[in-house]
Amino acid sequence: MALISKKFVVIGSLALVSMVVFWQITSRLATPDVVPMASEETALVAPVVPTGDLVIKEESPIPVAVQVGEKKISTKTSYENPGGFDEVGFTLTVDKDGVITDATVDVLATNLTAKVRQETFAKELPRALKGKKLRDLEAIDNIGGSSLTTEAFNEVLPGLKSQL
Amino acid sequence: METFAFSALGTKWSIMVDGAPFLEKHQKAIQDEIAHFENRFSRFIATSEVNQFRGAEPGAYPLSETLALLLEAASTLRTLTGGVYDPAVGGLLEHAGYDPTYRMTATDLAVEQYQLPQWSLVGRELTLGGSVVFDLGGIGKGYCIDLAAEALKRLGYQHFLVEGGGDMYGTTKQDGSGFRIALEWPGKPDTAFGIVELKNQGVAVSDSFKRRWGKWHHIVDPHTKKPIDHIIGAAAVAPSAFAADRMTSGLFLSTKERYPALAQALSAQFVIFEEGGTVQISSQWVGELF
Repeated sequence: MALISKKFVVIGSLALVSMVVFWQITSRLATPDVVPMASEETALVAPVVPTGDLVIKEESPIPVAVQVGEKKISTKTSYENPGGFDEVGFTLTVDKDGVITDATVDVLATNLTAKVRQETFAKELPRALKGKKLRDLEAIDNIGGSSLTTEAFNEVLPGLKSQL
Repeated sequence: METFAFSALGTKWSIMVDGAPFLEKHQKAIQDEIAHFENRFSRFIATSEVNQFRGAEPGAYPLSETLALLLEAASTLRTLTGGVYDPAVGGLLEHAGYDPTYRMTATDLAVEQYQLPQWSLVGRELTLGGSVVFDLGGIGKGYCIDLAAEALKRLGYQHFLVEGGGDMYGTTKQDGSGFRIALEWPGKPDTAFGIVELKNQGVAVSDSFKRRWGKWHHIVDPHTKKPIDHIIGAAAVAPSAFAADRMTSGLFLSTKERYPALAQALSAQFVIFEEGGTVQISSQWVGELF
């Protein structure tokens, strides 16, 4: 994340992280004012007050996907930049103790400059997948997979045959 | 819908046609076109164009239009992956055993001594530092799928799905719906991780499970001279099979910070299965995920 807007995102994400996690614990909607953490049960990131160039408007945490023992929570916020207001999404990974272990940025920006900046450092949104058995799928036309090899390759590798 | 299945490029192909009978003479014509491509660009055929630089002296060589196009695309992918994708890896794959005789046993000393050959391309002129064996395996199949699709269109077919060893290009079905493609979970052939619906799009799926021998598999870093181990599978959807094929090859041979530029250059969406169990999904992925 080595970009001009990194400062905004880091400050915004820390502020957001603290507010959203606080919401998780207290089940109250966070207010734009940062509230100091009171809980002793969990180790949390210290709250950071946003600077003047980043105005937190409002957020609505949306649980996204879960991995065993941890939670991912997704939230959107608006921020003001010279091009106007834009939305930034954050997905936070919170382990079972409420510790933030990861934070990624989702690309929601409508302003082209902001979108390019966001896209260049945060393209993927991790999720948990479980998969489905092929026999349980309906109306499939074909199966995309890595290519099976023909006899020439198979014959020399007894081990490979059992995988195919 | 009719499906015509055949073998080519060392794997299984199929062409599904909707809304029209797939005439036998056309089936043969497409098969011939693919066989012709294989004869020209397969590393496993001694007289192919990619083998003509085996034992070559340093110098400049003129290329056919198609080979120049393929190597130009390879050159761009080489840049996008920071030099980790390089079709000149063919020589290393051969030392590792994946050679035209399918020896499948590595010659460790040759691997140790191997150095990635230098090559550069300007227009249709290839400049070499010496002998090179090109392997177009990471991009050629996608190109060939698109070639077959273009041939089908020229013959008047509008609604079809071309499959080459699990990579595909689909137009639409006659009713306008896309072709529903289940995507195989890397290493679990009976399981899908999602479905994409192809509408004038290509899809490529790649993993490191099926072509393994000894401590090798077929996706190798030519600088470390080791098979890639931080990624175990990748899938990509793009406007063409060629772009999707290049995308999965690029993803395997890249680190995370390169993904956005790759996706932008190839207009591709993607899913990556990392070694540690994490799955990365590009923000534009529109397929269903399970």
